[in-house]
Amino acid sequence: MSVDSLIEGRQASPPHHLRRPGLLVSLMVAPGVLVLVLFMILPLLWVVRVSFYETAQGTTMVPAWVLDQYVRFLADIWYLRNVVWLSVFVSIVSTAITVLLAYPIAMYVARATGLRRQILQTLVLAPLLIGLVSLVFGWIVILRGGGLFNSLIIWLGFVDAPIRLLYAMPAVYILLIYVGIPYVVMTLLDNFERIEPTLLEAAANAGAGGWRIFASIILPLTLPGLNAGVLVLFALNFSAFAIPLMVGSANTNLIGLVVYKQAMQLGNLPFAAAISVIMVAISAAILVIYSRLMQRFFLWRLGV
Amino acid sequence: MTNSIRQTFYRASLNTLTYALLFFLFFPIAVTIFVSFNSSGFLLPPQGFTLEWYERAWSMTQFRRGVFVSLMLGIGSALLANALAFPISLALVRHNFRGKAALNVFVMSPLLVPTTIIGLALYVFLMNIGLGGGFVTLLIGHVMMVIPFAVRILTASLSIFDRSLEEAARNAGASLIRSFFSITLPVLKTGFIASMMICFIISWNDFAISIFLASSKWTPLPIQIYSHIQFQYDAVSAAVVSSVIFLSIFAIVVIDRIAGLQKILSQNAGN
Amino acid sequence: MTGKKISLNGISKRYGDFVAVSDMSLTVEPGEFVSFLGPSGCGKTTTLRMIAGFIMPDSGALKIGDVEVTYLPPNKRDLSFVFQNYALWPHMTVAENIGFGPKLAGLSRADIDKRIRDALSLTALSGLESRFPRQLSGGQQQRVAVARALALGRSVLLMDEPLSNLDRKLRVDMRKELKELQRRLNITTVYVTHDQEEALSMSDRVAVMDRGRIASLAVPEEIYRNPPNEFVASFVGGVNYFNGTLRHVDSSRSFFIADDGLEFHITRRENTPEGTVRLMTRPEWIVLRSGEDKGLNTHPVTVDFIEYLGASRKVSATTETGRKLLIQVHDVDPMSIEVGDRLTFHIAAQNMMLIK
Repeated sequence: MSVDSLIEGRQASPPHHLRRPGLLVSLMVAPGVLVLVLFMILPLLWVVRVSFYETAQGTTMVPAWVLDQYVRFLADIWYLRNVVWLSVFVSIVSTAITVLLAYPIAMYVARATGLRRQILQTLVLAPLLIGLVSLVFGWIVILRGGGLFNSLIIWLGFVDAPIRLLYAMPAVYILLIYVGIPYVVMTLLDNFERIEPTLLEAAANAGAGGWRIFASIILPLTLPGLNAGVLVLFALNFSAFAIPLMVGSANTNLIGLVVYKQAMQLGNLPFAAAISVIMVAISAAILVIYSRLMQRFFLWRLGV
Repeated sequence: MTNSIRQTFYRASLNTLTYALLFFLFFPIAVTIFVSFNSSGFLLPPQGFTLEWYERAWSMTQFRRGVFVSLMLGIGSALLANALAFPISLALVRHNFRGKAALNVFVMSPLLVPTTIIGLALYVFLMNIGLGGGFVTLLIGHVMMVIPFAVRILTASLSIFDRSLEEAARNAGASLIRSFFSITLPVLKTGFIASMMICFIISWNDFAISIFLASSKWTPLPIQIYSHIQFQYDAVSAAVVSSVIFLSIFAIVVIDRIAGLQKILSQNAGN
Repeated sequence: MTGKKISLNGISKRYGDFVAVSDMSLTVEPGEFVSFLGPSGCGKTTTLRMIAGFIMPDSGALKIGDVEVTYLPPNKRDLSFVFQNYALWPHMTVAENIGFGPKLAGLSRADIDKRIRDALSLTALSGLESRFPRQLSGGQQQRVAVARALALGRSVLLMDEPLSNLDRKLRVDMRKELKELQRRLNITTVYVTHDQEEALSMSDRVAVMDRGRIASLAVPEEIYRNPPNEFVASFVGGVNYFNGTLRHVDSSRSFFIADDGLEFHITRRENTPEGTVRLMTRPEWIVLRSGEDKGLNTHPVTVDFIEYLGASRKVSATTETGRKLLIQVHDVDPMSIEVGDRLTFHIAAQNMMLIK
């Protein structure tokens, strides 16, 4: 038993030696699960606990069971309008644009074959593994006051003076969309691959033209992937903090960024904790509503 | 006739749109690399090729220190995550037990929680238990973040592993342990390499978790770059960023060759 | 190496409700070649894997030579195994694959090299030592798998459908080669296959398996010519059945009247009962003749359908009594047959076999 059975996984001794596979499995998964419980689950629970703390003299934590932090956030119209509503708006708009741009790319990549496909696919997915800081840096070069974009539009005569893109909302949008495209392409590629070419041939044989095939066959069949992409991306965008932190301004206080600022710049941990709980709740609520609507209007047809 | 003209038109528009978008995806990266080799830096027109920015960048102690910290973190978290993930993958692939599906979701859970919250939670919790602000703090954060990837990749390579290779070794007289080390591990080598590399590169490039957990002594390279470009904006930073990009591209190509980028990444998005 | 006896005594294995192997007993004599033949799911591979120790039986006892090995781990058993997919270790060269076992056995470097050389020359693989498995053709990989098994120098060889991944031509060549090798080395062999030709051509005895049991265990000729039951009869070849009544005429002959009235004189065998019986005959044992040919065991027939198979033709025909017959006509027969032809068929007296 012991090490032998750990590796083997199959019954390796007679049945009358009563064996306990449960024990072996426990031994194998114990270290990983323990680490995850200790450094994922406990910290998350701890955040929830801390969100009920009081704060004295600005930021000192005082253990308690009060709703002060929640009330402070939810009763303040400034937070509701300039943080919550802004986050909802920005994440919905950026997700929508991302999906619109990613869809044709995914379709194009899925159509390619052989080496071309391989290269295109690697190119599209590569930004997922290139660090955020590196990607942001390139955009700073392009978007800043004296940067490429402004130089271009001034040279073309569209404007006289540089317009403010960096450290403002446009840069936040551009980067959210930019970072989101590979995610959505990736989820869509799986779906495109699963469409049997014979389905399209059958549609063409039935007399459907290009648009008709797209609207009646391709789009419905890729809807589940699109949907998955939307769900993931919305959740990512809604809680985004790194992008508004790096390229945003005081006017781009997305809710994730507010969590970060409260915790790391203002040191108000209970308040940050409460806001992050609220953030998860809102995000979950929107995703549930979205899923219900999708189910109601589109997906039931596909049996998803 | 008109139909085929229309089709050609649609196809051409799709191609144009896609290439425009691919350009959009790669332009920022290309610009950064271009600036890093341009002797006039940001100033146009380009004045010629130079390695000066790289020399200057890598003579700066904060970047050297950042590389050191990031390497330690990347290697450390890749090793630890794989050590924790391998027995879990083995259990998931080779054993049937109650709660298997739940375990699968559980080990993927770090991917489901927004990084903002993981960062905040670890920051608050580790400070509370007196582990704040050191290398270990960062290492824990990075391990949490990469464990799901390690489990995914190792599970995938274990499930295509042909068990008869082990049986053949046993038949040849090998003990279970011997067959594990002489056959199982070497055959799974590429899976391990892919898993290690993806863990390393995710850790190497991480910003979101690190910014919560970094301290002045232990600052990973991405945070170092971020604090540099906040105040100083020069071609030297382009050189550092380009170096980071080159390492990432190298890793991407290797991972793609041995395991297939889409396979590895989309499995995680499947959740 | 000399072969050892293998004894299975009441071996059973079930998976949940599914009985894979049921109370199986069998003795394979030293140096003997026994095949397990049967459809998938009949328990043949499960039995083989229990002998190898990859699966432990729920009950029963297993001996190799005089040593009880029932619950011994696979690395403690005096046998070698050839896998259906060859299971060559992809990270080792041909020589390393073959030398792995001898090295584990603690042989000296010189002895290991000798084992490798011998195994390679036995399987005609010399010169491929430093190739990796992926650089070999399917047939070469198959030979390496055999060489690796032989290099272990064990007394028993177990093979699990080792030829099923090869082209037909190569498969036919290899079975002759394997059989010669086995005879030369005198190694006790258990061979699992679903291909009856393979089992019949290579084995000293064939065990036809059905639903976890041995349906018949006998020499190939006996299995084919005189199968004990319908399952065995139809698994190893084509077959025509006749229900009817049997009466003994004298000490060497019996008389048979089929249900539809066709009459046959058949050779009387030991222990043949009188009364209601079931007989079988193989398609190639029936002879087709032209025209009005009359005589003993000869009856008129009409051709319904002809399948041309190259070496032979498979003819479906109907008798005047409405009985459907399957007849195989070899191509040496110059007679041309066409659908609709009215012919006669003849079955020799020794070619009708009693079946249970």
